[in-house]
Order: sequence, then structure tokens, then C-alpha cells
Amino acid sequence: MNSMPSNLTENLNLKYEIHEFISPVIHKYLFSLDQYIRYLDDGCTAFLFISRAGIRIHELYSAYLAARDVPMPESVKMFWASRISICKGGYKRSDRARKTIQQEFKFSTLEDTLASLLRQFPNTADGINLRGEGHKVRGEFFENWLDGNNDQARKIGAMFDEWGEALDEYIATLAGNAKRIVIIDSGWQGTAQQILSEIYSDFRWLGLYVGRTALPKVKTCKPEDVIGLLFEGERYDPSNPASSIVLHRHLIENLLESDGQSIEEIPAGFCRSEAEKLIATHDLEASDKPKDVLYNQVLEYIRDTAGYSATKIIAAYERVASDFAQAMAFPTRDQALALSGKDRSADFGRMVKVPVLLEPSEDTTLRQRMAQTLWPAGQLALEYSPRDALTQQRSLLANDVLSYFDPHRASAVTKEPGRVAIITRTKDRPVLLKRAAQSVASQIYKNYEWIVINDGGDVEVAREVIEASTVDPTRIKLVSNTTSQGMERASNIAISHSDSEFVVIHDDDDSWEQNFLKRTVEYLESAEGSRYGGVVTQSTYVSEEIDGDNVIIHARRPYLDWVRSIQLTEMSVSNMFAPIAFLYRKSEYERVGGYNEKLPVLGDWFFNLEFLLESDIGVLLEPLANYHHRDRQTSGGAYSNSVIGGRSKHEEFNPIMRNEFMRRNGHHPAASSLMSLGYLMSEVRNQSQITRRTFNDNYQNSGQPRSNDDISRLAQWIVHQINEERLARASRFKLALRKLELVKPDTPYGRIAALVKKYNLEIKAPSFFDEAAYLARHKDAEAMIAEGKLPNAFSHFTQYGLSEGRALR
Amino acid sequence: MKIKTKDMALPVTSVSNFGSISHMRYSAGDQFDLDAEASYIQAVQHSFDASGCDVLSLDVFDTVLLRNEKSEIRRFAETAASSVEILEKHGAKPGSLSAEDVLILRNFATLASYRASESVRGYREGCLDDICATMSRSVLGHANAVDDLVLNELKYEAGQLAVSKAVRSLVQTHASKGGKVICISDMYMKSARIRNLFDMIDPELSDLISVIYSSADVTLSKSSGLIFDLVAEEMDIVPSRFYHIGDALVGDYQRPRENGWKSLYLPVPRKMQEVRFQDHVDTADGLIQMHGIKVSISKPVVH
Repeated sequence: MNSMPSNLTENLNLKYEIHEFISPVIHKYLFSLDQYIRYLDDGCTAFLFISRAGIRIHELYSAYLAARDVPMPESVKMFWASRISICKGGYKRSDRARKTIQQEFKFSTLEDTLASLLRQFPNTADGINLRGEGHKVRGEFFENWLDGNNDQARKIGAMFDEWGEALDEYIATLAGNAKRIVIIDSGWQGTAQQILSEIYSDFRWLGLYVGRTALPKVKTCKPEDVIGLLFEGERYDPSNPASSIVLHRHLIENLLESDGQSIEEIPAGFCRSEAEKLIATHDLEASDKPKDVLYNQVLEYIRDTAGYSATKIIAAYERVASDFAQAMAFPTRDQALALSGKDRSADFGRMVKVPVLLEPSEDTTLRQRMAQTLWPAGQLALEYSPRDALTQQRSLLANDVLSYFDPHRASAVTKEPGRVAIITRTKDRPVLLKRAAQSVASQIYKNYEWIVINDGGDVEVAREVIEASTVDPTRIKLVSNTTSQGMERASNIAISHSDSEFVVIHDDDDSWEQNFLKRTVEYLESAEGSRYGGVVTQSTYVSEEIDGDNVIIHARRPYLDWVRSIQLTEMSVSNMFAPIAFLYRKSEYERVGGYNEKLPVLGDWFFNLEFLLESDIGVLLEPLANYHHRDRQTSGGAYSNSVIGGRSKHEEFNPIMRNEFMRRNGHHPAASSLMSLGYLMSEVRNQSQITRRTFNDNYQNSGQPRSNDDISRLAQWIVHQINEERLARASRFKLALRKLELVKPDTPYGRIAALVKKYNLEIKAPSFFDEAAYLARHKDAEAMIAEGKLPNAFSHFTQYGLSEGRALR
Repeated sequence: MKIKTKDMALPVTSVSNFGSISHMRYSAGDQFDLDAEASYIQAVQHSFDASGCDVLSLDVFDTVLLRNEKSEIRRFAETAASSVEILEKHGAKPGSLSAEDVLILRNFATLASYRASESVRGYREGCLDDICATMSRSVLGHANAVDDLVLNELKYEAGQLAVSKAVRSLVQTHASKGGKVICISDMYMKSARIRNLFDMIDPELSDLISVIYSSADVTLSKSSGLIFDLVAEEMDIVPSRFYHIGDALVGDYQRPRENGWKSLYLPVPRKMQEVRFQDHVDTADGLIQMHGIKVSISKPVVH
């Protein structure tokens, strides 16, 4: 791939000279660096500027200090190293070093891996004869190869020992009497710091970087010890314009990468002379030879403004900060070219250079270029017209970031966040109410009122739990009915005592993750969420039982995690979420007219259907709600679920609920067809479940499939899935349901097989279809799978075995 | 649409509220007026007496020592002016530093102190002495101005704080019965500095407080909840005998309860929160308009 011609980066007519909006950002970084160094300079700390970026950072820092009365701390030193030299020195003692090498050479051959590691020892590299295996073995298996019993591996293993000794010697020299070592580098994950802290754990290691991105988990290095001075995080945060560097980190990498070679060897022990030769290539850096134009301009700026006061430094930064972020996120073509900088060196013992932006050409596709560019927003500026580029660049950013640049979007989030009424229905279940209180108290979002409705239970029991809870007492209201009014009426009574913008039902037996309210309220108040009347999160099904005052959790699993959107048609088949996962606008509640008090159960489903007739519900794909079930509780009573304890009631009231919905909403154009579709879909699904259960029962009980009967049942299994697909298509394409003909269970097998082909269906095998037995009996099926013509044995059965009357085993 | 509840005003339904003392303070028009009201003083006393606890544990700022309407950013801006004189006294070139420069230096030093201090069980805490040392080193190249800078801040703070009459009364009553009174603060001032502050403002009250715990000393804080066990262990008293009062929902109310203590939540009055919020906005806007600088001090939360 071709990088952009460098002459295009010159003589551009921009609002600023490029350095004019980079220099103040670097100046602020140097100011911050100085404050940290002064804070940490306690006489027991060594400050190590690590090459290569450290060379220029040191030069800039010296320039920053030049006009001040404060000298550079005596314990500041250059640390001549690179990731590869530290990985070599740490290979035998650091998991992180081994993993880094494995990762870096994952797709290289062993031959290339060794060539990179031994680049400064070409004679040693030439002397290693891999006898052809170097072309076969990938670098990711380097560790296994090194453990092998052969002379070549032993030779390299011995070199790692020597690199380790050299690193020990070098670190001891640099550290002197220090107890704390501070690494100073450009960024972003502190890999070298992590390896060094793993090996030399007697020191406290800190890292000061331009910025810090997400960190891998490393036991020996605390994430908080990796400090980003301008930003910390993986995403651009508009409240901190400098964090836009995450969008184009190579701007900083380029700026700070000196022209000398990477220091791939350790300047101590057996490799000292090789390292010194590499260090010598940086002597020129210290001279006055021309360097990168941009770097020279920044350096000149720092020298010219060395006497700037703190106020002037920060004010200069603030003047350019917004334009800087704009150029990182939405560069114009000219800005992209000017800010792309020189090609990046691949590092880690390799000679190749990697371009930041790629020249659009017919030799490559846009997709390829976007996959390889180091600055996606910049590449888009080269690929599209200014208007289209802006659209594409926007799509790269998260919505909350976009709002920063878009006053219209931003207006949706500037008001004070809305208050939430959390409604908790309870009745003599203190153990569960206590847990619900903890769930409410732990919410990060605090603008709520917690309304507990005691529906006919002992009010003192509820009061005692509430008083002992940690929920903000000024936000609690206990509404008590002396006799039970039923779940839906209890909800309406409680909501009538609320004064809030949002409502959510948090029953006493459910719970939330601590950011449920924060995420859902933020969503409904965002520009994206403003079109929705409510939002649901994903849920976790919690299987539990009550043992005295204890709740025993048996299992947690995703609950209806296939739900990605809330469609009225799907909702007409069955309820798609639990109340605990649903936060909605109170205005929608008022429009619907509250919960239907005629229904002792399924009132939430009814409410959701009426809600959806006029309003949409957004979905957050995060499991923030916990839907608890005492599904192992043998007795009913106070602690049973309405879903579990009242199973038969749910079945009884399903048709009543549907009828009531039709009667109440008959005037609505969608209501009747909706209920028809819902009924049909649920019937098909019920039949399918019955078939599935029958299968399971038959196979489980007998241990042996009953041949002819089994084939017949398998045919029914397939028919049900065909029908489900037909219904789904009818719904998708808005076909009239009355015209839809379902496939009958007694359809000839040949016709069933033809339909499977027609719809190109991939039908899942029932759990007791014995794949191995089928394949053992039908070798042609095995051959077709081996040739890739069919995915599995059951697809052979559906397409051939069924119509040909083949035996199952 | 009208909600289809059969009868909203059924006599069978009753409504109770909680946290009456918390409500009194939260909704107070003037916190100093409330603080002098006999009914409030009695309510606080009654709440403690009803708990049956032995140890009275108090948050310091906005609980024992009431802050005025000034926001944090304004307090720092006002302190900065006198800090300039101190730095000049210690060798800074006269006229080379402005109050805004010192405000920014203090702000960055504070960030460094919070961010780079040694962590204890994953938690970090800033320290006023370290912040002042950083400022001194940054401007002068040495830390000789530390004590004067810290003293300057304490004097300023002392001028801005007033002792809560209600809490003072509670302390006196409890101490007169031989009860123990302690203070626990999540603050970048070490306990010795907080003690200095008490001595400056109300030496008699200071004498009644047996121990002051500060997160700046132990790094563990109230907001993490870890300091409560530490205090109980150190005093060798079971958690249920402690009664803690403070203005922070999490650090002063929730965390003590989670650790077996009893607690009373006395939030800063909403009106005061709003005034401080506006003061923050005005001060921050002024710094931008007059000097083009933003200082990274979070807006106070109004809740």
C-alpha cells in the first residue's frame, strides 16, 4: 500500500499553521508532567525517560524548564530501551514479556521471529539452522519451540538468560538508591512498565504518559500506577478535548519518534556494544540537524514560550482545544494530509514502515484501506467528498460524542436529569424487601423517589425493613393498604403518590445492577432515546430459594437475551421482558390509563401491549436487571413468584387478557389483527414445544428411539419449524394472515423435504437426534458432510433421509 | 387518559414518610437559622439518645464545621491570592506569579496528589501538605514554603467556617456524660491539620473531641467504607455502639450502616447547594472570560 506523498503535507491553507494547534497541547502536557515530577521528587525516586519517545520528551521538557528558575531534578536519566529489549531481558521472568513476544510474532514464521530477536546478532542468526521447520512453525508457538530438546533452542534459551542478566545490571545502574522508579513515555498501555514491575517488584513503578488507553489485567502492575497526563480512557470524551488524541494516537507517536534506531539491545552485559551502536544513531538527534518540520516547530514554540506563566499555558491550550479535537475527529482533506505525519516504524525488531494514511488507488479497495489505516477519520477525508466524509466520520463516533458537536442533539441532554419513581410492591416478605432496598440504595443515579406499597401485609414489617435500609430516607414513601388490592391496583395507587418524570416497577423480589437507573435515564434523555416512551435492558434470570432469612442463589442465566428490539407483533405472542427491566415515561402511563385492575396476573403484559399501541420501547443490550424466581421452592406462600406460584392463573388469564385487550382496544386499527397474529404464533409455538417435550419424554424414558414413530415425530418437528418460518415471513412482509396456509402435520415426507429446500431452512436437530448413530449407518451422509456439501447429519435427514425412509440408527 | 383506579382516596390506604430530621435540614431556607432552632437541636439530640450508642462519631465539614455559600473553586481562588505573597516571601520573583497562576498550580498539584499517591487496597487520597510541597517545588525548586502555604489555607478556612450549634450541643451533652466523641473526615487534610483548624475556630470544642480520623492519614475513606472497621478495631468497640452523623449520603449514611454502625443523614440544604452551584458557575465563567482558563474542579452536585 502506498502512503500519501509527503509534499502534499506542505503549504496548506489552514486556519492555523498545524503546529499552532498542536504546540499548546504539548505545552500543557509538559506543564502537567512537571507538576507530577515535582510531586514525586522526594529524593528516593528515579525518573527514566524511555527511548525513543523519551528522547524528544526530554528535549521538550528541558526547553520547557529553560526559562524557569527551577532545574531538572538530578534523578532524571535516559533509559535506553525498547519493548523488544525489555521483553528479551524479561522473557524468563515475566508472563507479560512472553505474551508480548507471542502476540507480536503471532503471524510470523519462526525464522522471521528469530531474525527479529537477533537482528543485532546477524552471525548468531545465520548460525541457526532450522532445517526447514522455520517456515512451518508460527511465531505464536515460539515458546513451545524454545522448550524443545534441540541445540538451536538451547542456544536461544541461553541468550535469554544473558539478556536477563544484562537487564538486571542496567536497571540496578539506573535505579541507584531509588525506591520508586517513574517511567516517562508517550503512551498508551505501559507495556514496558508492566514487565519491569513484574520482574523488579521491590521497586514501586509508576508511569507518566501523554495518554493512557485501556489496560490489560496485570497482577503486578496496578492500573492506577499507569497515569495518562492528558487523558485516560479508550474513548474520546468531549469534556476533555485532548482525549481526542485516542482517535489519532499516531500524531503524538510521530511527533515524539526520534530519527535514530530503536534500541533493541540492552546497554549492559554481553549486548552492551550492540546497544551503544544503536544509541549512537541518536547522537544526531541531539545535534542541530534538521528533524521533522512539525517537531521542530513544536520545539521552537516551547522554547519561545518557555517563560509563559501557568495561566498563559492553560489559556493558550483552551484557545485551540476545541479546534484540535475537531481536527482529530472530523479532519478535512487538507488537515488529514497535514496531520498524518511520517510513516510509522513497525518496531519490535522489524524494518518495515507503516503508513498512517493510504493513497486511494484502484489496486486496493476502500475496505482494505480502512482496515489498514492508522487514522480512520483521516482516511475517510481522503476517500469521500467533504460532505460525505463528515457523515462517515460521524458514524465512527459514539452518539454522546456527536452531541458535543451538534447543538441540536446537545439540547436534549442539557436539562436536569429526570426524577424516577421506583415502585415496589410487597406483602410480608421482609427478606426480599431488604434485598430490594439494597438494590435501590446501590443505584449510582440518585434522583429517585422510592415508593413502597405494602399491599395488605403487616405495615410494621415493611417499616422496620425500610428504617434499617440505606436508602436516602428523604426519598422514601411507604404507602400501605390494610387489605390487599391486587398487584395492578397496588401499582396504580403507588404511582398516584409519585411526583416524577419516569416510572419503573421494582418488585420486592427483583434487583438491579447499580447502573440500571443511570443507563436507562441517560438513554431516554439522550437524543437517540427521545423518540421512545420507555426503555428495557437485558435481564438475568436468577434461580433461587428462601431458606429462613437467607436467599440461596442456585443459578444465573440470560433471560430472553434474543430480544434486540421490541415489536408489537412479537409482544402479542408473549411478554418480552419483566417489569424490573422496564423504565418508562410517566406521561405514557397516563396516556395508557395505568395498569388494568381487572387482571390479577398478566397486568404488566397488558400494559406493555397498550403502551406499544402508541409508543415505542428502546432496548439497551446490557444485562442490568435481575429477574428472580423461587423456581425450586416446593411450597407456595408469601415467597413464591406470581409466575411460578400462580402458573395455572397465568394460563387461565391468558385468553381473558387477550379478550379484554380486544374489547378495550377494538377501535384501534392494529389491535384485532395483532391479537390474531399473536394467537396463531403462540399456538404454533405451543405445538412446537409439545412436540419437543414429547420427544424428550419418549427418548429419555425409553433410552431407545422407536423407529417409525420417531420418524413421524421428526417430521412433525420439521413441519412446526416450517410453519414458524412462514408466520414470521407473513408478519415481516405484512401478508394477510387469513390467506396463510399452514403446513399440515400429515404432509407427505417428500413434500416436507421440498419445503425445507424451498425456504432454505437450516433446521436445528432435536436434542435426542443421534447424530453419530445416523452417520454410522449412512456412510454417504458422512461423505457429504466431509466434502462440505452439508453442515450436519440432521440436514441430511431432512433433505434425504426423511423422504427416502432411512433408518435413524 | 384518566387512570382507572377504582377509588384513589380509599380510607384503607395510609402514607408514611421517613427521615424527618434529614428532611428538616435538606429543606431549610437558611442552615444557620435552622441550626439555632430548639426543635432541630432537640430532634438531633433525641435521635442520638434513641440509638443507645456510646460513641458519637461526626463528619467534620458541613456537619460540625458549617461552610458558607462559597463554592470550592471560589475558596481556592481566594486562597491563591495570599499564597502568591507567601511564595514571593520564599524567593519567587515579585510580580512573576499571579493569583490565577497559583490557582492553576494548586489544581494540577492536587490532581497529582490524588492520582499518584500510593494506593491502599486500591484507594488513593490526596494530601494538603503534599499539594503545597508540589507548588513550592514547582515555583521555587524546594519545599521550604510548605508550612506557610498550609497555614495560609487553614487560616483562610477558619475564617469561612462556623461551628454547628446543634452538633456542638450534642457533643457537649455527650461529653459531659463521659461519652466519647470522635471525628472522621474524608479530606486531604491530615488529622493534625484538622485539629489545628478546630483549635483556631473553637478550642473548647476541640478539647471534647478525643480522636480525629482523616482519610489523608490512612488513605482508607468513609466513601469506600473501609475506614469504619479500622476505627472500630482501633478503639476496640463493637460497630453497633457507634452513631455517625454527616452530610454525605454514601460516606456518612450508607457506608456506616453497611458496616454495622448507626447513622444520621444531615444533608446540606438544597438551597445552599444551589447557591454554591451558582457560585461555582459564576467563578468558573469569570476565570474563562477574564483569563481564558478552565480549572478542573467538578461542579458541585445538587441533589
